[in-house]
Amino acid sequence: MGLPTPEKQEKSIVTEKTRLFITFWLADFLFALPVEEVVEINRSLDITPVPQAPPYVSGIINLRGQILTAIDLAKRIGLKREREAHHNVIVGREEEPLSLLVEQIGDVLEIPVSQIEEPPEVIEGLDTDFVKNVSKLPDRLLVILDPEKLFKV
Amino acid sequence: MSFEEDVLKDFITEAKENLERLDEEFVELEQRPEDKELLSSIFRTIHTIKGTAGFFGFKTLEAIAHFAEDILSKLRDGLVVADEETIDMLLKSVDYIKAIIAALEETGKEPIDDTYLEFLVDLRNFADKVARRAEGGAEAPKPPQEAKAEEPAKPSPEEAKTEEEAKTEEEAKTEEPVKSEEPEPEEPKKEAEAKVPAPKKELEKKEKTTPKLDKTPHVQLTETHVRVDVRLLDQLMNLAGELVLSRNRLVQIASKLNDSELQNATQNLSLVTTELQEKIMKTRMQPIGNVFNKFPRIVRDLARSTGKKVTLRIEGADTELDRSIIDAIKDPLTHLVRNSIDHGIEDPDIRVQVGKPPAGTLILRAYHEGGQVVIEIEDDGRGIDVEKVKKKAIEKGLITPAEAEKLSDREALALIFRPGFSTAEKVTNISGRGVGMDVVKTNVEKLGGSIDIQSVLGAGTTVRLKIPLTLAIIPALVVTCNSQRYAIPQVSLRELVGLSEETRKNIHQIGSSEFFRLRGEMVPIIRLSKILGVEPSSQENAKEESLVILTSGAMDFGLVVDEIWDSEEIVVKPLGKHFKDLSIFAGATIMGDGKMALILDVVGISRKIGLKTEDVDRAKEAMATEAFAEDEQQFILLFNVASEEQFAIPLALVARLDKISADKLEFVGGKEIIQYRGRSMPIIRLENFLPIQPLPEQDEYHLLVFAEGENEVAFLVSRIVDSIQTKIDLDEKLYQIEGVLGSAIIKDRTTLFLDVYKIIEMHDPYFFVKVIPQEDRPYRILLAEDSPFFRQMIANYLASSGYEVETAVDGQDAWEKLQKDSYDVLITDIEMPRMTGIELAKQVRSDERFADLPIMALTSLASDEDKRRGLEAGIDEYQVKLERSQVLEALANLLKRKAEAQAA
Repeated sequence: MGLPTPEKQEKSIVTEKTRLFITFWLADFLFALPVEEVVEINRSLDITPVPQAPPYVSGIINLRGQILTAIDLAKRIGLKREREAHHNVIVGREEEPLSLLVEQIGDVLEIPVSQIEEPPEVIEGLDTDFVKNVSKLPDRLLVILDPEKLFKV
Repeated sequence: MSFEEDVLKDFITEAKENLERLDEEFVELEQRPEDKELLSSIFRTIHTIKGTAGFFGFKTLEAIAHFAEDILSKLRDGLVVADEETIDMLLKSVDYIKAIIAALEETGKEPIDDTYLEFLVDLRNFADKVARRAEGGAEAPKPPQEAKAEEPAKPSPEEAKTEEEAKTEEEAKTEEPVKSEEPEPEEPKKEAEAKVPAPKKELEKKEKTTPKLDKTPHVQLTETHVRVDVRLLDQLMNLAGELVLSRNRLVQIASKLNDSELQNATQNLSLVTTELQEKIMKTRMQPIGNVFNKFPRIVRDLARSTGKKVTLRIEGADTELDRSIIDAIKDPLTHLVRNSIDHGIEDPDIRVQVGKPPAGTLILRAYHEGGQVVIEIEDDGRGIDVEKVKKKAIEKGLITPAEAEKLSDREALALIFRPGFSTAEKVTNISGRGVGMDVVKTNVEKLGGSIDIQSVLGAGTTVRLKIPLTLAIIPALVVTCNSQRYAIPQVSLRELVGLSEETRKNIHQIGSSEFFRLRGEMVPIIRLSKILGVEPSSQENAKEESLVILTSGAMDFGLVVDEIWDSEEIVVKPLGKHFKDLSIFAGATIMGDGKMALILDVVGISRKIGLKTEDVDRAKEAMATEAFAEDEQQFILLFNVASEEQFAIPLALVARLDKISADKLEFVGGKEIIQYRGRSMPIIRLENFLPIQPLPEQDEYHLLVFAEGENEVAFLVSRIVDSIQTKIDLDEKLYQIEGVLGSAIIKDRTTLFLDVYKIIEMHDPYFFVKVIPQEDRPYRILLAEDSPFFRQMIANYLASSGYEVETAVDGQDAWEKLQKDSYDVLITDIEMPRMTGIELAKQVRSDERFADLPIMALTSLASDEDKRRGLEAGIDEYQVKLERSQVLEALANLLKRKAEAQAA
C-alpha cells in the first residue's frame, strides 16, 4: 500500500491547512494515526508469541530481519475485538518501531486542522487515555490515537 | 572537520597505539636493560610524540616527551644503564603523556593542573641527574662527550646528544628571546615553551640521522589501514546476517525447483555470502593480546607496590575475539589479576618458607574451545581457604552456619561471587576498591559468558572465564516447548539427557521441587513449560522429552523441554522495551527458515526456579542415601577356566592381569609356581578347589594376580572375557559350594561369583596375616550388609583374618542382634532397607549400652560429604568395601583405640 509522500503534504499545507492520517478499523471504530508516525503497513506477518509478556503484547514479528513487538491494539486501548486483527501498522520513526495489529486498513484521510478537535471525556467502549483528538466525519467519529501513549510501557 | 582537527585525531590515535606498546617495551627493558634495538624503538616513539606535540603547540606534553627522550638517549648511547629507578621515572612519564593524550582527546586542550608541572620539575631534575651520571660514566670511552661535559653553562639534557650538538648551540641562542617574552615563574614550563621551535629541527635532524627502517613502517601503516567506525561494522555485520538468512531461504526454494542453472547460481551466492560474513566478522576480531599486553605493566606495578615478586606468563595472546568483547573484559580481567597478586601470591619470604620459588607465577591464558574463548587467570599462590570463605560469609550474614555446613567446596567458592563479599583480611589500596567479584561476575554474564573458580589451598587458584567469540552471533541449542522453538546459548549448556523410562528413574520429587540425580549430584529440574506458563506436553509427546542440564555459574539446573531441535549459530537481536520485565529471555533470533525463536536467559531462569532451602537440604540427604544404591554397581571381571563355564570376581580385588606362556610353569616341592618379576609366585588352578571343568592345555595362560602385603598369588585361567559394570544380583542358593559366593546371569550366561579370599585361604591358610586374638577369644564382629554378595565376601575375608563374624541383612536386623549378643565392633553398610547404616549408627549412639562400640561404615565409594555425615551420626571409620587390607588395618586400629580407651 503506497503512502503519500511528504511533498504532497506540504503542497496541501500551502493551499489549505490540513493533516494526513492513516485510518484503520477495530471493532466499530475508525481510528487514525498521523501519517508521519506510520512507517509502513503490512498484511499478516507471522507472530511468534512471547510467553509471560504483558497481555496486550501479541508477540514478536520479523520485519526484514528486524524484530518488532506486535501490540494487540484492541487490548491495549480497552476494546473488545470481534474479528481477527491481521494487519500490521508499523509505527515509530524516532522510537523503536512497534507493530499495531488492526482488523482492517481504511483510507488515507486529509483532514483540515480546523476540524481536529479535543476528545470528549468519555467515548463508550474505549479507554480515552490513548485518544489524542477526534474529528467528526460526515458518517462517524474519527478517533485519532496518541502515539506517545502507545509507546509507553 | 578541519584539516588540523583531522591531523590531531590521527595523532591521538597513533599516540595511543604507541603508548600501549611503550608500556610493554619498558617492562621488557627492565629485563634487558642494554638492548639497543629496544631502546631505539622506545626513543623513536617518544621522539615522534615530542615532535607532533611541538607541531600542535602542546607544551607540557612536549616538555615531558623531551626530558624522557633525553634520558632515553643516554640509555640508548650506553652512557647509563637502565635501572629500576630510571624505568620508574620513564614509566611515570608515559603515564603523564597518556593522561595528557586522554585530555586532548576529550577537550582538545592540554589539562591545566599543577601536578603536571610538579612532575615536570621532578623529571627535569632526574634528567639532569642522569646526564651527570652519563658524564661520569662516559669518561674514558667517549672523549667528545667528555669535552662537552666540561661546558657547565649549557642545559644538561642536550649535552649528551652528540648528534645534535650543533642544534643545541642553535637552541641555546634562540632560547633567550623566547624566555623574555614569557615571564612565567615555573622553570620547567619556560623550558618547555622555549623548546617550541626545536622539534621541527629535531625532526629534520632525525630524518637525516636515523636509519630508513624508522620511517618505512609508518608509511606502510597509513597506506594500508583505514579507520572505520565500529558502528558501521556492526551494521555491516547485521546486514551480512540478514544476507545469510535470505540466502538460506533461497537455497531451500532452489532445491525444491530442481533447476540446475538456478542451483548453480544459488550455490555461488551461497559461497560468496559465507565468505562475506566471515570477512566482516573478521573485521571486528582482534587478538586478545590487545588486552593482555596491558598486564605486564599492571603486574609489575602491583608487584612493586605489594613487595611481591611475580612472573607473568601470557599464553595464547593471538586468540581472536570480537572487539566489543575485548573492551568489555578489560575491567573484569584487571580485577582478577589484581586479586591474584594481592590475595593469591604470597610474599617472597613466605613462599620460600613453604618451599615455593620466591617469585610467584601468574599465567594469563586464552584459547578457543567449542566456539567460545576461554580465558584463565592462574596463580601458584596460597589458594582460597574454603573454611575462611564460609566463616566470612557467615559473618557477613550471607549464609547461616547451618547452611555453611552443607555447602560443597564448589558452592563455598561460589560465595565469593555474592554481592557484599570480600575475602581480603585487610582492605588494601589494590583490591579493596569496592568492586567485588560479584561485579566481575555480573559483567562477564552480561557478555553471555560464565565464570568459574578452582582453588587448591596452598597450591594456587585458577579463575576461568568462558566468553562467547562475538556478542552478535552465538552458538545455541534450539529446543521446543509447546511447538515453539527456543534457543539456549551454548555457553550455559552442560549436557543433554534424553528422558527415557530408564533415566526418568533418576527424577525425584522432593517437597514441591523436582531433582535429577546426575552422577551423585542432585540437580534441581524444572519444566520449561512451567517457566513459560504454557501447556505442558501431552502424555504421548512426553516420551520425546529431554533434560537440558544448564549452568548459571552459581548453580546447575535441568530444564525439561519437549524436544531437542538442533544446534545452530544464531544472531542475537534485542527484544523491545515492552519485554524489559521479562528476565527469562535474553533476546530473539531469526532462524534459517525465517521463523523467530526466543533466546532463553539461563541466569534469569535459574532465579525463577524458586527452590525452597528445605527441599535442597532434603535432596542432599536423599542423595547421600541414593548414592549408595548406585554403589552396588561394581566392575566385574569375567573369565573362563574351561570355555563352557563363566566366572566373575570384582575387578577391584585383582592386583594385576598378566599373561604367561605355558613353559614358564614349574612344579617345585609339590607346588606349582612361576618366575614372576624376579620372584617365585604360587599358582592356583581353580579346578583343584572347586568342582569345575579343568583348565585346558594352552600355549599361553592368563594370570589374575592377587596381593596381600608382600605375598602374591595368581589364578591361572584360560581367557579373560570382559570387564563390565553391573549391579550384582546374586543367587546364593543354587551353588552352596565353599569358594563360591553365588551365581548370577551375566551376558546371558550363568556366571559363578568366586570368593577370592576363601579360595586363596584354601590354597594357603597362612597367606593372609591373622589378627592376634584378644586374650581368650577372637574379636566378635557384627556385619550389617543387605547385598548377599558383599555380605559373604566381607564376612569371609574378615573370618580369614581371624575375626568371628555374625551377619545381619539390614540395619533393623543388626539392631535386633545387638540386643541379644555382645560384639566388639559393628561394621555396617550405609544403604539398606528398613534401617540404613546412618540410622543404625544414630540409634546405637543414642543407647548408653553401646557408648563404646566402635562403628565402621563400608561403602563402595566414600566422598568427603558422606564421611562428614557419617561422622555426625557417630560412625568412627569409613572404608571402601573392596579395599580389604585397608578395612582390616582400620579395624585393627579401631580395636586398639577401644582397648586403650578401656585401659585408661
